Amino acid sequence: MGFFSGPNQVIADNAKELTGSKPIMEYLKPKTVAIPLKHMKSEAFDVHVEVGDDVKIGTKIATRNDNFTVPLFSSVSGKVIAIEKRDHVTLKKANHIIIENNFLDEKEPLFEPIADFRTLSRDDVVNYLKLDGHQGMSGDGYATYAKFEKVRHVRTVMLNGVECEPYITADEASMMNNADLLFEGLLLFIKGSGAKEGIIAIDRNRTDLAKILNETAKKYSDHYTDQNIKIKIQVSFVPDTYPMGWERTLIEEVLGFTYDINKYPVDAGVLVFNTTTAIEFARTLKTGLPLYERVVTLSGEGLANPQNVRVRIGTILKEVIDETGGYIEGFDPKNARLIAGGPFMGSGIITDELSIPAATGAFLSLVNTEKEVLPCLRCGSCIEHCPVGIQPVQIAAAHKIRDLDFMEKLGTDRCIECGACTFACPSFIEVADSTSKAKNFYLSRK
Amino acid sequence: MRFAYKPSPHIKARVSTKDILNTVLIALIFVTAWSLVAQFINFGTDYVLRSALIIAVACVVAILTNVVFYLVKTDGQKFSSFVERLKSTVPKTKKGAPLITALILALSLPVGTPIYAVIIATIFAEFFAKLLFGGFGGNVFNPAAVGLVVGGITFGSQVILPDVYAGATPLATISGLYGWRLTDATGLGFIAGYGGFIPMLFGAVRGSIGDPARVAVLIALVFMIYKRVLDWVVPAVYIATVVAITGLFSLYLGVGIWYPTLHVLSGGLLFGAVFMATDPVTTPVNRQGRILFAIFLAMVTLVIRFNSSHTESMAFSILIMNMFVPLIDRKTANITKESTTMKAVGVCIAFVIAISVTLGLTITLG
Ligand code: SF4
Ligand code: SF4
Repeated sequence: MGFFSGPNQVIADNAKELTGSKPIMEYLKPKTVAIPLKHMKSEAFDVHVEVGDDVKIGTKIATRNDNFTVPLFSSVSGKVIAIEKRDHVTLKKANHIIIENNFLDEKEPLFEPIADFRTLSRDDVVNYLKLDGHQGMSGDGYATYAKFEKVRHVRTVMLNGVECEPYITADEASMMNNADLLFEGLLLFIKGSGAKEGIIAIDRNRTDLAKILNETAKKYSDHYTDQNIKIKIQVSFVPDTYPMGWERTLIEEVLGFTYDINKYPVDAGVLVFNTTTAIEFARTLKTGLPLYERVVTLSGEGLANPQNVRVRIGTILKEVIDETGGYIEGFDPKNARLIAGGPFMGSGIITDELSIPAATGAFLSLVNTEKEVLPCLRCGSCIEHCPVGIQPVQIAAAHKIRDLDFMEKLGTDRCIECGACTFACPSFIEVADSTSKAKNFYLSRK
Repeated sequence: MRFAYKPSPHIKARVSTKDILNTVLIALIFVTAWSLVAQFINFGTDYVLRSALIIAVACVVAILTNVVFYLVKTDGQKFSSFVERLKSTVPKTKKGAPLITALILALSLPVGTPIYAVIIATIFAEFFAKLLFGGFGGNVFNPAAVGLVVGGITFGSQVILPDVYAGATPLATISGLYGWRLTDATGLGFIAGYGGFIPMLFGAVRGSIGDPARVAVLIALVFMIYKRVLDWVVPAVYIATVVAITGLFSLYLGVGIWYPTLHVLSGGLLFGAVFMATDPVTTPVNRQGRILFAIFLAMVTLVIRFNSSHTESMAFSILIMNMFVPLIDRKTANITKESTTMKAVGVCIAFVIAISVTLGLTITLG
């Protein structure tokens, strides 16, 4: 925010009431699950099972084997019936391991449940994270253990529960029901990073949640680091703007400082994790079972009955949508969108027959989203609202004439593809799409 | 169920460019109405009818220019009948906001402008300055300013020079007689001749059609700032720079505070600052660029005003500065969030340059 840069954020109708107030529904008996052999952009996996093998909940079925080590686990007990290419949320087809459920829910723990987290050392925490394959659970899916590898001097661990994307309430629902696990997860991350301070940041309008977290925080006020320093635990409340959940914006809001645009939060002494990741990690250590369920928000005006649903990882989206009541009457996919993720950063998907991965917290169906594109009036709204402070309209123009020098000066590669510029454009121009294309072009030529 | 792929984001804000243009149009209509009423009260029916005729001609010609243009340029679309073809021009014309251009142009013209000059000026504004550049959004030069200047050059003194129909404008009188080098005696006497600043502000001034509506222009400015359809820093910085430069010049001349005030209220300066310098299409796209644009616009306006025989420097200076917009955009391309101090320093340097150049030129040449 500044005189020259503008507000650097947008205010959108948050539409949380569609799902926020309803209890979580359960859909835990899928006939089959499909576990994608894809993590972020990588499809390099060692597969540990063959068609016909029996698996249980928690059986390790594959491991990513390139620059990251990410194990994948079965989320049901039953039989591997196929390994085949299917539609994936990234729009490209990817290999999936298909497992038929025998509904016995037999479990195969990864390790002995840990009764007292205080017995764990700093290295233990990171090793467990590597062992159980936890990843960012609200979109990016970045392997959690890897965040600890760059760590030098971390002062603060911040749990990001802001959910600045409209419609989504999955993290909120998880926090409401697992406040203790949330704080335990926070303490685990503090231990793993050597920090002295823990902050849980949430939207200040979530008053029920705020009450629960403030209550629970009191129980965790008496913990110490290995050096016997008292750990400061705090719940922070931030405004309901977008993209408040972006690390840079969040740190500026909560901690009051900015850091070099070329650096990461960890360089500024802060590690940021998603709240659901913290909860699920604590749960895994308590039970010995890796992540096999998650809460997803199914929402949007295109659905008859928007709802948070607890599902097995790898459940087919269409089954869950049908279970909640399906699409609205007279639903026409021609003037609707289906989105994996939030309305800003989520990707438009072309079919509902895909499996729900661990990293996606919401699927939305929005209707009547199209608006007639008008000429750019160079109003600068896209610039003012860009959280990075780059100039989308100029980047798009520079890309059109392939002016690489100018694109460099404009900081084209800084775009985080947040979509705020398109949202803010009064001419309804897809500026964000142009900017991200420009960014790809720039990176490919540099 | 299958869906078509759509890029993210999937939601859009409610404000639309249409709303923005409508708000500007409302502001302009308000100024026009105010001006006509003030003219009626001060100068009577004939004067008002003449103004109204010019406004009407400008509006009609602007719309017709678009309709004809789009009748010819159909982009390969086929029509079953002429009526169809005619219908297709309506949305295209609407998108180009011809009424905004027409009203800005008409309000800037002297009441004595011959009707054929109004027609030609409007055609230039719409056709050459806007449609040939690919229509609204593609134009480099402010269409209304193009109309004003081209109309003035081609059709001689009636448009830009002293207003024969309604008597000399204050601006023309000052420029012609004194070259803006006034003493307290001549200056205050001159203002008193118009009954003081208050009547100048409220309407008893002969000049351009919009001149009697200076108060309305200020109200329109507040309205448009409130509606967030323009960047308030442009008129603010522009007028502040004009005041700073003319204030320093008044110290040099040894005259009172009335001097900068007279400058701000003279000619189309206020109107241009609110309705032309803020046109987003033909001005820089980011905050810092807009501030630089406003500072140098003030410089150019005053250099022309002080040193040439043209009394109406606003339109000229807008066009001159329009040419520098790509350069300004390029020079202010860095990440807006990371370089606040540098940007502030840049703005201060520009401010000092503008003051030095204007006063240096004026004092050495004069
Ligand atoms: S792209 Fe949209 S927001 Fe950006 S300057 Fe153009 S009209 Fe304004
Ligand atoms: S998508 Fe890129 S350019 Fe657009 S607002 Fe976000 S960061 Fe800025």
